[in-house]
Amino acid sequence: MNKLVPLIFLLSTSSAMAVDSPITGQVQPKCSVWTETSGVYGHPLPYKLTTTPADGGVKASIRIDVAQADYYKAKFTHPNSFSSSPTLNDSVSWTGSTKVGQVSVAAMSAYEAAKITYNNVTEFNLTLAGSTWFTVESTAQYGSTKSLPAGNYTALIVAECIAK
Amino acid sequence: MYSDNIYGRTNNVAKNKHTWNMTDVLPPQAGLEIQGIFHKYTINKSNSADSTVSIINKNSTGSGNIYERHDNWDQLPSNTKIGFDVVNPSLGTKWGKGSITASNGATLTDVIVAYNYKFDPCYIPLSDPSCPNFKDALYQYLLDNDLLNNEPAIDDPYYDEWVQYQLDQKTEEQEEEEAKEKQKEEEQEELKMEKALSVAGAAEQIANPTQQLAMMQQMAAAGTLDSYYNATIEGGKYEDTIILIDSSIKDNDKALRNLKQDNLHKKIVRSQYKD
Repeated sequence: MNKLVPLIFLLSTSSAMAVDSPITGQVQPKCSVWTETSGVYGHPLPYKLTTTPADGGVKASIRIDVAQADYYKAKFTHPNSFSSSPTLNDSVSWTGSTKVGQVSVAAMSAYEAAKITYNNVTEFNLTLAGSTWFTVESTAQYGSTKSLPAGNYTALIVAECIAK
Repeated sequence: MYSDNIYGRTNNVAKNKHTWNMTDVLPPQAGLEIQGIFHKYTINKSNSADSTVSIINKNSTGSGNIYERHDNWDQLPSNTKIGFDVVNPSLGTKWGKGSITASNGATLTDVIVAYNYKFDPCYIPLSDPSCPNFKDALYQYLLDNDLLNNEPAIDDPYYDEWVQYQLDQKTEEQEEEEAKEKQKEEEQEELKMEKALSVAGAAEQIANPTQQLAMMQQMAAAGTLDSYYNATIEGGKYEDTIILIDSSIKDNDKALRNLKQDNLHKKIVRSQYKD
């Protein structure tokens, strides 16, 4: 009986030595998107809303910071509908664009020439680390030349930093 | 008393000209260090042209440049560039003439260049009486200029400080003296208290019967009482030493009157118990 005691002890200790040891890690974003200037629609004509400064609008300025070069692409979707507005009974015709604005590295200026545009989407290949400012324009025309109902209008730009 | 670094940024040094002298744009504070350079410019050129934009600061204490940045715009379209370069902090006095240029006929517009700097307002402790080590620095200054015990000229830059220093010294001496006196008083007070406490202790011991007995035994054992017990009084005649000279002594009328009243009072009291 006495000889059994150490054996039991050994058995119990051997089972306690099996443990799950976790390895933890945290992934910090290497690409971030910031709205530097929110767009504002000007209302130069009864049927038209536009961000063109000459028409009283403000173009949106969105900055993308990339910490790691050539791992991300930027995707901008300019609006093709209002997210909130008075009830509209006629169609709205949308136009818009996204351009490279200021750059923190001279070579980023080449992004503009290399951009890909389809539908209301513009994509940029972010091959360099640093900050790039993108300017987004949007224009909405109601009906053919129908007056827009009075009220508040909001449309959303979607700016994304997507891993390649 | 403490000093914190003061951080700041110069105005746009390239606002009017694309060259500038650092002595004109940096604050004059001693020990000022430059920490970073902000720049923003728009380059105007044809897309196919080559150009380089250079931002440079000469090394004022030697040859070459203390800072230089070259942006390559070869074959790139015109654009606006914005950037900030962090540099190892170095004394502003080392930073010489600055410039921003674009090569190959490209032009620059909307140019902004600004320097981020920091300085310790107490870099020279004598600059402000609120600086730490101001007193030490002043003492050293007075010592170095043999002004410790000699009054400086009234136009001496630290004349006011010297006066203040002297006043402070006097105040300190007075305070020290007062502190010493106070300490002395406290010590005397303590001594008195100790004495009082020791007397109080003795009184307690005297009141204690056991202590009393022990004390008596001690006295008896030492034969202290023997001198009283064994005292011998010589025999013989002891003459009066006090002589009263006869004279007329008047009756004390007041006392007699009191006695009379007492007698009357006694009679009245007694009369109550008669019958």
